[in-house]
Amino acid sequence: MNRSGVFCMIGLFAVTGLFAQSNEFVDSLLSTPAVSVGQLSYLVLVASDNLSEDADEARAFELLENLGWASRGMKISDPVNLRTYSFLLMRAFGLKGGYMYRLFPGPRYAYRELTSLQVIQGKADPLNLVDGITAVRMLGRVFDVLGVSR
Amino acid sequence: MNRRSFVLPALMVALFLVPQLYVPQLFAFDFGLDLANDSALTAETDISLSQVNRARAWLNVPFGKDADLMLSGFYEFKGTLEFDSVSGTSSPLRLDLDRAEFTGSTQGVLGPSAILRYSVGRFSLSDFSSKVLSGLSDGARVDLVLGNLAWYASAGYRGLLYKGDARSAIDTDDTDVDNDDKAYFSPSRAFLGGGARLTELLPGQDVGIEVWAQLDLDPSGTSTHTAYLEPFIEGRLGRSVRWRAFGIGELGMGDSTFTAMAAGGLFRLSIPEVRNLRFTQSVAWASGKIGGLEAFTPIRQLPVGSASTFTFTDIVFVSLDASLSVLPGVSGSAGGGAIFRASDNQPSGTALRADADTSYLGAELNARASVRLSSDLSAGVSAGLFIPETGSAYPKKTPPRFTASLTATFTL
Repeated sequence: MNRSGVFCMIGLFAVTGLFAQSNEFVDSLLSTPAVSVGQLSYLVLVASDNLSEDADEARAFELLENLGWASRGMKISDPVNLRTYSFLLMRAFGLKGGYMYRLFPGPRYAYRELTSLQVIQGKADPLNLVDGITAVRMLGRVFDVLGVSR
Repeated sequence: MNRRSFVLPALMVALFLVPQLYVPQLFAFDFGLDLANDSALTAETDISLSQVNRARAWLNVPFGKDADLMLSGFYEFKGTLEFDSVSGTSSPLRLDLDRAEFTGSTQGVLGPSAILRYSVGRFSLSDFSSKVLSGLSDGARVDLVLGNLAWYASAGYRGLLYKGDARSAIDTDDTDVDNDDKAYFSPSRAFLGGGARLTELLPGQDVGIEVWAQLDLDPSGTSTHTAYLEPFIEGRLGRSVRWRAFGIGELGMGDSTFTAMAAGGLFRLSIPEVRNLRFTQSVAWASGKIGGLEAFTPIRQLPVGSASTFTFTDIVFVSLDASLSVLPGVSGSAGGGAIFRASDNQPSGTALRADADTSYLGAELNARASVRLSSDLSAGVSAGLFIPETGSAYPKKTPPRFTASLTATFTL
């Protein structure tokens, strides 16, 4: 990633309150081409105040399972696609979604909702694996949608 | 029913089935169903109510980040009720292909910054002004962007489009097909198009030129080929002012050779701080039969305004509109315009009286509002009023024409 990209990420982390998270986690996340369930659980649950930042990925995944947001058979090291990440974001931040999402909450309508809200931008495949930079960008756009300044 | 009537439904079924059977193993896909209702009221001499209900199934198959396939088809019911005569007509079943577009892009074809974009299938295609060609066409388009210079070329066929969507009005063959209740497809016509656009020639100003040609492929009836040359310019002044202007020269070859012209422009002032308030002033002219020119005949004929029955031929339309976003998800607009004929001949639509001696045909007012209730449900309402000039153009008792429509779309 070039220097301007790094500064953008740092800026984004500052506004999303993630700067306090460990540098190791941030470095690892940004350089990951396919983010794992554990990493995304930690990122999203901490950012949504469902988990304190001194927890780790294993605790984050455990909480994800306890909340019933992990799909059946999901493992902590599994890579995450856009649909699944969309559903996680919708759940964690309590986004209302469209009528179909309210009737059938799941990754399919979560993906559509976030595409409609421009959280997912450009050409995208719902089964594309999420990389670290995309994960952070989407999280930042969710904050924009919620009008949260952190 | 001719052979083409069977080809389209079969093609639609194949286009939906093949990806569902083979593609899911390799690629993700998304699919859905849009349900739309459009209820419209028209009041002129008589009052009529029309109802269009459409169920549109769609399938989107991405092929990586640079290409995707979009397929959609629809079932439509259309009915009209005339209140005065208490009679009605309906078209209970219309099944047609909507879009079948494979689109993609690739970078670095002719240099590191060169971008090649392409679309193949049935997709939306238009010229700069949308006055020559607009809406769906069957064909292909290629765009090559080399720095600030963009080249594009397209070719297609319009004989597989529903005649009501193709809106072809070039010669008497189109009129015959339009009047034939058994005819579904538009006359057999092909087109070629190409152009170049130079962005930021001067700061904030783009210029370009397009060339279009329409080839009449129907061996029977009148054979009319047309070609169009369309230079244009588009720019902005600061962040609030945008403008665009175009001219079109048409050369036609039918029973005889003829020329026609059209031109237009738009000036827009945006004030995003005030609920995204925008004022748009526009003017459009299409030649009539006067001074060596003939009536302008585009590949696809568009209506002028929202309540009148005029089309973009032998016409001058000057309008001013204002739009704003009242609340998040709620927007509205209102406007009006004046309509003139460009020659001394009868305009399209209703007939003038025999001693009509004015160019001014009437004024039009319109208003619309739309609301997005959620990501999958939206609704809109619109109304238009055409007030004919009855002093020296239309017969004294010609009533105003009022239209209103209510639309709602739900995506499953």
